[in-house]
Amino acid sequence: MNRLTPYTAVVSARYRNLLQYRAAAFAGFVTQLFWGAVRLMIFGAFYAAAEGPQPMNMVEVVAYVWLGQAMLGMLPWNTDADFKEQVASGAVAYDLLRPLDLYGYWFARTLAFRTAATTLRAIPMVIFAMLLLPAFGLADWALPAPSGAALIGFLAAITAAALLSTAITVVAHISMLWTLSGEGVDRIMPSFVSDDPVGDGRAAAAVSRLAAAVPRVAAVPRAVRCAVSHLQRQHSGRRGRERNRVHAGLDGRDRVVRAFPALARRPSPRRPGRLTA
Amino acid sequence: MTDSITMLARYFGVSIRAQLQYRASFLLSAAGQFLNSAIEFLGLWALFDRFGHLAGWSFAEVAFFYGVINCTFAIADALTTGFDRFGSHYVKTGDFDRLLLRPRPAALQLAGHEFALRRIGRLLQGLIVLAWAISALDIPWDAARAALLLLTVAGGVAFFFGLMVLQASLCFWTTESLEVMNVLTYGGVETAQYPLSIYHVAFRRIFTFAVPLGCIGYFPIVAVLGVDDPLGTGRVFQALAPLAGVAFLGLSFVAWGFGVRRYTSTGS
Repeated sequence: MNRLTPYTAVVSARYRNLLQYRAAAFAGFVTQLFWGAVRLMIFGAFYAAAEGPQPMNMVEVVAYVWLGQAMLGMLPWNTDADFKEQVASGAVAYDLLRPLDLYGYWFARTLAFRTAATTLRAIPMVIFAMLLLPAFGLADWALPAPSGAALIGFLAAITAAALLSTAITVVAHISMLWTLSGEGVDRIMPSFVSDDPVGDGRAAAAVSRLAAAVPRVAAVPRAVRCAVSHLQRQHSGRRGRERNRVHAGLDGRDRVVRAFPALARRPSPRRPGRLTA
Repeated sequence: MTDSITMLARYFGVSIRAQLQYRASFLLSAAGQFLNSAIEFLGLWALFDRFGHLAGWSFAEVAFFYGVINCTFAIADALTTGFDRFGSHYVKTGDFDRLLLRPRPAALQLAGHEFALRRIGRLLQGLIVLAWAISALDIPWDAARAALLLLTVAGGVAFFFGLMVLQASLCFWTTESLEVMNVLTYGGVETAQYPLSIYHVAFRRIFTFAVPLGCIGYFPIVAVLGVDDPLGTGRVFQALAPLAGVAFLGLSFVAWGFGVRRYTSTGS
């Protein structure tokens, strides 16, 4: 059997699950349509009075704004509510018992989370911006049809972007193993993503410096393994030694508790067995 | 009336003390709010750095629009958490029954649901931008201008409060909060950060007559700045425009009344 099969199965099952939320997707579509229109009017006003050629011409800005709105959900701006729920309830511990690589499993789930909602929003958005706007006589504001080469380049870039964005989201998910609550990370993540085209040289330089600081996709799994092994490290100090003693002689359940000490820190009605351990 | 105000003050007092129990969480949330709107402002600066001006409006002028609307929204947002969560917290669960049983208006109790202290982040950021804009612009301040600015903020708070009441009223029919209303709240803030005159004419009409966003931002601010409105409105209209926000709040409460009469509990 192909080693990747379970992971692709996870992606596909989760993806189809998330495709159910069509009403939410419609609301998102309307919101992003509004946002796109506002941004285009703002850029239109700036460009109307601009002197000399700009790094991006207006046609490119229009394409950027529409594609940005269509793909907005794919930016790492939030976390999966299901995962948050699992951490809060402690059910995340079951993931450790699955015969899968933990990072691979979480990455697969998150990849579906990152792409499913985006698919539902991007398709009507592209249809609207590319086909309907010219039909309404607003061809200046329409998303231009790409050339073959541009389309191939776009597909390659968007695939890599999906992987990178997923990796960043997984890191955010993993942070919840410490914080136990996704509230903080959910509030901070939107600050780091932006849908503005950055035409200015200095701003672009700042953004690329920031981008360089974001860990590359390849580096993330390694960082995560370090983080997980940090979690599994033996505890020091008097309380830590106590905990190590409790966790010595491990069965499956204790292995989970040892991997995620944060989960053991709270009394949980789901683990009455700990009282007798 | 006095009784209602005392009641609301008690609600807010309890809410503030409750939030300060989680001091780190409050500080981080407020910092997050500050950062979110500060980064937005950085985007604005980048655009002006490149283009110099926006259809004749200078950076400081647009910063003034930006500062006023963000302060306004931050205040309204802090007061309306109860209405924002109305669908999921009260209608879906049937908890609204409990509010109806108490001998105080339901709307008052909802306003007292939470005084969201974390909004201070956005308020602070808006105030800083506003202070900078005022220092950069050469506005001949007098009592009338200052009063109009305060009226603008008051009208704006009433307007956004009205939007939230409207969103909550819709929950009587839809149960869940409609995400589409975000277009008017957050989208409204985004829109009002820039002068209304740059937008398409249909858009301007909607945001003047249907949803009076322009009346609590653009028009009175033009009068405060003392510039001539490219749209050609007169000073009297500009000065009275913020009252549209209060009227909007009144209409929202009419819709709310309809909804409350229509409400049937989930029974759980």
